[in-house]
Amino acid sequence: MMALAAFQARILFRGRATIAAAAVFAVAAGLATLLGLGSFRQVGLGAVGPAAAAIVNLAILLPTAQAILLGALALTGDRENGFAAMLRARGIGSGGLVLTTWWSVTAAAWLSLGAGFGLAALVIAGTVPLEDLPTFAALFGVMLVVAAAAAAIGVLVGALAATRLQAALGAIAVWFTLAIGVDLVVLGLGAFVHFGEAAILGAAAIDPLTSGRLAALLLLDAEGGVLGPTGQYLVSRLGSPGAVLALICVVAAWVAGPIGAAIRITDRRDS
Amino acid sequence: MTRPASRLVVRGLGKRYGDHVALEGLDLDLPGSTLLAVVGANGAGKSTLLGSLAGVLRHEGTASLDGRPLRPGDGRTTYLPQRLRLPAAATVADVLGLLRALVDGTPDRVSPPDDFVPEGSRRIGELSGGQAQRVALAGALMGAPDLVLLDEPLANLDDEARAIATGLFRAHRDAGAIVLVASPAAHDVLAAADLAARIDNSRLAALGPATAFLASLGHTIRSEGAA
Repeated sequence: MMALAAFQARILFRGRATIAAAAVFAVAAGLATLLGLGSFRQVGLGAVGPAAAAIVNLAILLPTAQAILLGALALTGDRENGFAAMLRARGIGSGGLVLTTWWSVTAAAWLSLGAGFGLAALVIAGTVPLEDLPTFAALFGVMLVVAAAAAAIGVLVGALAATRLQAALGAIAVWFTLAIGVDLVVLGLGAFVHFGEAAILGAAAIDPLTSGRLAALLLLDAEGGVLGPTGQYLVSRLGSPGAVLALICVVAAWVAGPIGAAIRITDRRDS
Repeated sequence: MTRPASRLVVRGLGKRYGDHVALEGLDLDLPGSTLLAVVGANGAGKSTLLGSLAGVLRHEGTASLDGRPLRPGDGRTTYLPQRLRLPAAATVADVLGLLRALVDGTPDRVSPPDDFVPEGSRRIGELSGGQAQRVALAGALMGAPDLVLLDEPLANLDDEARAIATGLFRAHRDAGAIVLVASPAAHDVLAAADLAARIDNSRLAALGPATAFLASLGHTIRSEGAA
């Protein structure tokens, strides 16, 4: 399985799409940081300034789109090309196929995050106080987990899709729903607030991208003043560190759940 | 003289895609050291038979090799799917290295000549269809599998490569393996095979010596030519 993981990662890292995605995110994060240097000078990473919010949102949107799309296409592509069948006959089970695909796609998304956060760190070095470094590292860590969840969701889409076209369309639809739809419709309108605590917690857990965004904003602003009703409720119930931990656990569950489902589905279908 | 015990035993093998029956109630007994040509028209069920034996298609019925049920990944089977497209971004060395790792250190029973596959540094996406097929075939024949399942392995190959490939099939057969080769254009394969199985309309229509099939095929072609 290690050999397959290394093989999948080599292919993805060699692909133009991975390099292009990393470059796009790096340039976007670098530009956002450069344009927001003023706000970084004023508030550092101890509050949600426009530049910090821009980086968080870029990290929530771009590497996750890459991870969902690549995850869906990689698994469906191997199946459509017959390569998955060849590997399965040689002893790679559904678990191995799904896990190695997820891992390589996650690594590709992490490359993008590393490039973006690395460039942002270079730009703000000397501007942001040294005591903000742990916050920056924690933000990066949260985004790594969110990207891993997005890759897992992409792989699940790939397990469900019959063709690469279906996989691509499904991945775009899922990403749009998670990145924009849930945030705007479910959380933005706040309709769930009327349905009690369970609905509020459900709204926080329904979307790993939103959970990751809430965790990141809480890291920047422990009071949760910029958060909507879901974030404020979590802070009031769990405190800021507890809320961050709970949200990260939600995102981590979004890694394990889709991978488990993808393995089960792959096991039950023809290669 | 006693007949050698069957090594591959298939009973009631069937496969449906919704209402469409791709393979129905197929029984097959093959002795060891056999090269079987699986022939039949397009869509007859040849690929379904091989995919089912490889364990990559869910199917009805049972298949066992040397008394033990066939299971994907039990180390006894290798499978070259039809129209396999290796990842374009991988190099020849990447693909062969991966498949080498999957045979887990088992030495190759037979090896193709050094110049059978292109240079290791070349990407699969840069290769011609025939060159990519050579890589796939070399990878599929690594190790010492007891059951070799090859679906249209000669597709895209030039004459020299076809001759080498059929030599490799025979070498695996001579070393004790059961080799099943599916092909709609049967001449090349039948010339090298011991037995032939004809699949017609999702059923095993005939099983017999490959030479007899080859002779009947020639007759059919001559008759059609005369008409």
